[in-house]
Amino acid sequence: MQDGPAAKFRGEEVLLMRVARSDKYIEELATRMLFFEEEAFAEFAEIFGPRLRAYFVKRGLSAGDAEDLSVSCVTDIALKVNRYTPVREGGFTSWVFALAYHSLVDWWRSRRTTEPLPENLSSPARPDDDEADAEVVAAVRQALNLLNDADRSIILLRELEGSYTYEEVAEHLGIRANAARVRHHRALKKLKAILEEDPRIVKFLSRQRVGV
Amino acid sequence: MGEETTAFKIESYESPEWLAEVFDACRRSGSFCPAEGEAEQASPDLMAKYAEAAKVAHHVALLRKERQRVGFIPLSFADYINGLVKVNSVPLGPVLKWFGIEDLAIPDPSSARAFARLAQELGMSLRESLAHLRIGFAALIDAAPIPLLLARHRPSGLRGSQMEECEAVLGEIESDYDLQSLRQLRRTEFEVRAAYREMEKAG
Repeated sequence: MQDGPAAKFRGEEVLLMRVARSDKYIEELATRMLFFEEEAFAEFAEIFGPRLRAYFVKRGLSAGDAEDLSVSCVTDIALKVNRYTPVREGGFTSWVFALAYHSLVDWWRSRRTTEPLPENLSSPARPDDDEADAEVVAAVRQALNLLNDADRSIILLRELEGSYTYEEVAEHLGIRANAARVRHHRALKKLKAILEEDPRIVKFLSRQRVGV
Repeated sequence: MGEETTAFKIESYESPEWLAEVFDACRRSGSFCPAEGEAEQASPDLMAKYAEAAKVAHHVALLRKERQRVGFIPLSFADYINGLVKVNSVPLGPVLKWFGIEDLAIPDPSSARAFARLAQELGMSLRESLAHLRIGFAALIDAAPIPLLLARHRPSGLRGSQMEECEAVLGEIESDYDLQSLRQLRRTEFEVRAAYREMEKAG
């Protein structure tokens, strides 16, 4: 029990390091696709196909619909790779999922006569949303790196990677549910303090308020 | 103060609205979605579909590159695409299947949108697409080959760009079409224009 949470935090750290390495690799993958490398297109499908499916399932699609839409997205997004401008590490992944988000909204809209648009997809997408969101993601990633492992894990589990309950977070981190709640609250306060000073967040929020 | 008491006190705590908006934007971006390897493993069948989908994208990307290189040539859509396919040694079947095109040589109102989507993916302008479509239509109703008509047109007419000359020749041919053929051509053109508008609107 003593080394349980510590081991889990170490695991989280390894995971974050792996994701960081993967980001760099994926940026190179985008460049290789721009040079029409057939193998790069195949790798794109292998890496993003299952992730896109998971993304769609998480946002309410049935397994079958998520599979169909993810297959369609692999072609559609790969075809748009010539429009991608590398600006920051991790940008390609954000760009891919921003396009996937638009595809998902279109998918729901095409079925709007029979099924209501889920609440988390109801805000209208604007053409420059992708860039604004990418700026926010970069700011949040940077802020998360300033938190300690425990705080970062809680934010990821509760707010970003999923909506885990305190019980689930507690189980993951090897602590009690009440302790998870307290740590979550503290982590949010720390993150808030960092983000409210970040000009990218200020810009994003003023844009949201004006509704441009 | 124990953690349980603190937890009770913060039960009603809600993070500020703006932070929720920031988290929304992050979730929307998908950047914090399950990382590679964390997503549930797809079945071999599904992985094969992903691979096929990526192959189609690669083929279309190669065709688009070739089209940018050669630009407009006064050929029917079918001849033009087949030409691009041959010089790139790309299999055409999967590409046509992806775009839902059964026969490249028969442009009609029902297949016009699929043609338009392929044309736009290849980077053709609306004007180019319509020219290829009209040339294909002329071939279907047994008009003389357009390159030959273009050559005939040159000595007497004003010299313009290849596209302008082609449009002038097509205009002359179409003035001889019977009403039914002309109507079918215009309906097909209408569908192509509508498809371009929709695709441009969708970005």
